[in-house]
Amino acid sequence: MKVTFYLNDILMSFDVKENEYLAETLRKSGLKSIRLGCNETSCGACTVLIDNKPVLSCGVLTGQVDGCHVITVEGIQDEALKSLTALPMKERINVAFAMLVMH
Amino acid sequence: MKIQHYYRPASVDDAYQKLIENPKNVLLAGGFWLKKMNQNYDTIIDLSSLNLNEIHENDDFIIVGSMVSQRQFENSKVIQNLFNDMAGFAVREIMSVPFRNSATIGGSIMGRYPFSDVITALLVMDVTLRFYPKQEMSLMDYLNYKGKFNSVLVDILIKKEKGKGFFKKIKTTALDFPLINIAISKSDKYRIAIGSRPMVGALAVSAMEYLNSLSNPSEEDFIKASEIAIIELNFLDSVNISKEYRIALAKTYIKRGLLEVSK
Repeated sequence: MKVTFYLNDILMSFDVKENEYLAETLRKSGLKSIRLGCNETSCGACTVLIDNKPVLSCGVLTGQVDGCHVITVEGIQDEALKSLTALPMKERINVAFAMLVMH
Repeated sequence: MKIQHYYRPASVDDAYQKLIENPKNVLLAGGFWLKKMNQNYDTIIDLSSLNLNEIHENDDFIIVGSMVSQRQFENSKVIQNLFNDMAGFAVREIMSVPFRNSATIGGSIMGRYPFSDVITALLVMDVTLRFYPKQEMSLMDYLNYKGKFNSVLVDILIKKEKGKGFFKKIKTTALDFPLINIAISKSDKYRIAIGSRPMVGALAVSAMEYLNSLSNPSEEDFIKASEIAIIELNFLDSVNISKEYRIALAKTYIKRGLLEVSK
């Protein structure tokens, strides 16, 4: 099945299985910010923005986002960097440490 | 869940024709619960492009499209104005915002899930379900309907009523299913619903009749109503809660709810 949607503002097409979930499609395309934590729509580690709303990508079939705008953490790197640099140094270290722990 | 085909219908009629074509075809609303089902489906019918995701109102009713997300529902001003936002509060207690952005009100109703907070909250309002092809039935009738229901839920009509509401969901952690949920409303009459017993929500009809037969019920009457309610509805044990504890919780919160809505 062919699905077309805007991924981080770039129009892309994917060949996916009918029962493939968005988290799987995004990870296969190389976007590793999406984590398959619980894979049961509970933990939130797979959250992406679909049409500017946070949604759990492990619970959404890829077919459901046809024509939508999907944004992952990779798509908001500049904003994330700006937010991080606006923080005091101590907070930046805390964030960096938290990210290391997550990896 | 296994699917052979994914279908995007052009209209509600198209969705209905596809649904009745094969008993293994299924409608897709939010889709979260379908994911957990270990079943093979032939065609999954995605309702997201049929413009069923709006909330309207007229003089008598609030008309909620079946594909309105739980998040839209809880943020709707018209819903917030109904029974002091009881239904919005019930929905706000479900999982997380990203979850509620996908989960739909129609999906929550059609699934007749025993743990549903949405159903329990809506039971204490005057709710009619409108299906395609032409068919209307009350929420209670739908819950009592046996077997597979081969129609497409188009919208949910909630009668505008002035009154007070109370909703209580007891759960062990923030993201857990309810151990029990209780909804009470008072407009011109009292309504009491209890869900997750662990069966799907139901009205405590005898307790309601008792209260509604009194002109000005007192606290003792509320206690008696709670006792009638726990006798008339079935409560069972489940893994994380005993039947006795469920009954004790129900009795306590029915009384508290009745006191609150009667203020």
